[in-house]
Amino acid sequence: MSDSHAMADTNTGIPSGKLGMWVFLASEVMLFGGFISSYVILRTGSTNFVVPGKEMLGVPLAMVNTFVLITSSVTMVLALDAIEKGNVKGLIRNLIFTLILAACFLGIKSYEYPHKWHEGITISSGLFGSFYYTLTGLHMLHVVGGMAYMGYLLRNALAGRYTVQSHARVEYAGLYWHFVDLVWVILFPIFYLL
Amino acid sequence: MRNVYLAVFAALAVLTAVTVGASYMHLARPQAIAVGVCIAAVKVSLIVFFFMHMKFEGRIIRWLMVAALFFALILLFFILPDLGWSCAVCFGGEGSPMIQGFTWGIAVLLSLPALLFGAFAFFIIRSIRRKNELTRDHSTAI
Amino acid sequence: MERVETFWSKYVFSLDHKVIGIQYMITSLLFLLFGFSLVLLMRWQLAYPGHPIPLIGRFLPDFIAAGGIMHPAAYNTLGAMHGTIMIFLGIVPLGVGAFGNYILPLQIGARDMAFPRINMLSYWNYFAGGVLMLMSFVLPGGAAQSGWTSYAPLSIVSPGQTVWLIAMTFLITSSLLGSINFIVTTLNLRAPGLTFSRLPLFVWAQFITAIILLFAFPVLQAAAILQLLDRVAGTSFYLPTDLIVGGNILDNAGGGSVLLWQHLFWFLAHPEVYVLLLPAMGIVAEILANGTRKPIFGYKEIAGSFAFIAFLSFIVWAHHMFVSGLKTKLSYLFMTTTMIISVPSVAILTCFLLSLKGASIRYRLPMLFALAFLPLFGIGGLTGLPLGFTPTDVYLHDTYYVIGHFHYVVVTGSMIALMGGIYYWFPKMFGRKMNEKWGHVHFWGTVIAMNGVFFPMFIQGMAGVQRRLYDPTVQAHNLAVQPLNILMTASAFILLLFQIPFIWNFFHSIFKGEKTEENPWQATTLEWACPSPPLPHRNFDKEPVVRRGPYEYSVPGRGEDFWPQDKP
Repeated sequence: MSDSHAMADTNTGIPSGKLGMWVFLASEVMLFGGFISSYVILRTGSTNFVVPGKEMLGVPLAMVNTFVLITSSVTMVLALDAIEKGNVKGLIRNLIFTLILAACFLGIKSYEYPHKWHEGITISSGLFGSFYYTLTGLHMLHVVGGMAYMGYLLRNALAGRYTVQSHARVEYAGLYWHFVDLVWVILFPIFYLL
Repeated sequence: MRNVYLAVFAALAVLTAVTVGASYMHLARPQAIAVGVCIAAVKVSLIVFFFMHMKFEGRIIRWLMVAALFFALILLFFILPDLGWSCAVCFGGEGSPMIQGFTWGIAVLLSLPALLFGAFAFFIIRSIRRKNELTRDHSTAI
Repeated sequence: MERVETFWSKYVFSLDHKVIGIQYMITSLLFLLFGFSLVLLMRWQLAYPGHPIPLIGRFLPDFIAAGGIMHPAAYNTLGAMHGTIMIFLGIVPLGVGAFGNYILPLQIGARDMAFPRINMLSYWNYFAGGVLMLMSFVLPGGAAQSGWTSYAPLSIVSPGQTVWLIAMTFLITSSLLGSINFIVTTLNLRAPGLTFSRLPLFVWAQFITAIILLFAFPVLQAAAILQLLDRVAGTSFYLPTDLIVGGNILDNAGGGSVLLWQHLFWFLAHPEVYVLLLPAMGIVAEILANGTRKPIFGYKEIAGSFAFIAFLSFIVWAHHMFVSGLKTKLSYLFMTTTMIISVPSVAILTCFLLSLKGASIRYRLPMLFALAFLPLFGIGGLTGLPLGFTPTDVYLHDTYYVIGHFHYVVVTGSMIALMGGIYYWFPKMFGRKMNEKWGHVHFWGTVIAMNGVFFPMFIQGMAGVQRRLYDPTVQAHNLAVQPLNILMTASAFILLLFQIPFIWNFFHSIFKGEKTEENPWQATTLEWACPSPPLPHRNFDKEPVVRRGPYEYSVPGRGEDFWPQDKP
């Protein structure tokens, strides 16, 4: 039985770190929500909102990227699953996979961006471009932050600091990473498909 | 547990493919949005419930439904055709795209705190109740 | 394990919520003083338009006041920065950062906040944001000059706004880090026996305020990022197509909406005003219970009203936009919700007033401030009604009536309560009392002068004097009430004078004040059950166990007139 399912020594029974991470994620939902509702407003209402054709957006590549990020979420949850069973090697292996996949995501995006620039979709070329780069850019910053978080976990894991009883931060990092994945799962359809 | 995660992964992969496929079907806008949003909602739920460790139980569904319904009713009242569609900005007059845009945008933005708060309140109160039963110490009741 | 404390770790980068609370307190009081001095310059200009500013006029740089006469753009800058500084660098950090940080863990019997390092980061983000705001005055372009409301498109084409937006990012980060801390601490670190129905109303107020901030501030952050991109990256989120600025059509792609900024901004800014109010009401509740030696009337009703206000505050925002072109039906909607939100506010004030009935009032200094809050906040609240009611708001919007209204609620309301809080909790923080005599001087001078500054604003507003006007005499209908500006300016300077005893009293008493014991006010809540000042990093000797509600004063059959929460 792992740490996170036992009742913690707090009034709510939820460890403070976990509760804190969830509260933080709530604020992030509101942050992305503010952007997304602005997108909804202008995309629906503006008379000057040009949506590029599907061919220009590179949907297949973005789909691959979505798979990449979802897979990284799976490896992250497998990492947590591993340490919950005391399998430190499994934790390390899956953390490394997650990092590699995250880097792939960034790599694909860094191919996508110049491609779009050549198509004429830039941040100032029109509202679509403005929203696209702002939101995916902000998302990328979150990916980079997540990778730093995972690097920190990896360093600790290699030093043997995580055990069956004590691995709370792995779980919290996982929550954050799934949120980052979740945001992309929403951004992908609203920019590439609709 | 591993098998569950792999199954969820498979489901997510399939749903991604489906949503991409649906986008090529040239549906009318409202239908396209509905399909896209529904599939995204399912994917989000899968991630939240399985990867982020919150599992479905009977009472959860009922509680969430009640909270969501309550807030949805409030929102519905606000965006009733008579009230909401009549304007958020006066540029285009009745039925202009900008009015619809603002109405939908505001609806999205308002629904978020409602859903977040409902979900948090539900899970925290449930956890407190569970903790009190475990410790059986009445002085730590909520 | 004993940690080795250096000067830096003990006083500068401390993880102790008490040190951080005092850091917030002193920093915010300094910012309040600075913001106040900005408006004194404005008040001079309003009372004597076009006259050179005395004494310091010749030292001011040319772009502010050439020949000592204030430049119109400088007036706008002062106005925008006064609002920004008072709200984001003054009242919120004082009410939430200072009092919340210091008192909340004590009142719930905790050793510290849930996340001490995040607490420290929260203060330093605030500090960084504050310094950046101050620096904006001397950076190229000067400080922001488009109002604290930063409406597009003016804010996008005017100088000074970029640094404002970046500084706001630091401030919003500080706020969000603080909110997370407050919410988790209140949920998780309460002492045994401290159920939610036994929480002091101050804790309820802080908890609900943190929730408001959590949901509302990120939206302003999003809006600010969009505005920043409009300014520096050539986007047009808020710029309509073919906007003409200074005779030329803007180069941007267009398609944006200026109203989008207003909606996003007010989505935060309306809940923000309740952030200004709720901690102050929490403080008044604490002082009233203590000063009347009775339980507060309507504990459940007050806590419930706090929560109801927080919920409603998210659905009233467009009452700031009645004249923006909203169609009548939508105005009705927001007018209705605004009228409804006045109900819990009145309920709270009524409960406070009813708490006085049959009370045995101790007229100590904190109590004076709490009592003054009641009628003055009442005026502020009542004057909000014609503003929430669309037909009258169409006339009063953007007049001095609005300025009178919000200054009454925030200055004679919240600020008075916060000052009372300083007198009330000073003994706990420093183990010494503030001087009563000078406190009385401060109190009476402040209350009278504040009314002198803000009451005439209602008269001016009803006469039609517009706000944000550099020279009121250019409009004929303002001339009849122009002399009132002289009264208001004189009162403002007198108000400044009366803060001098307070500043002196505060710092002098830290070192030389009359020493006091653990519980000088004979109060019941937990913060008084630990030494004054509380033990570093621990607060309590032993974790308190709570056995009863927070306001068990004058319990029949007991010898003393107060029964602390944790005594057996």
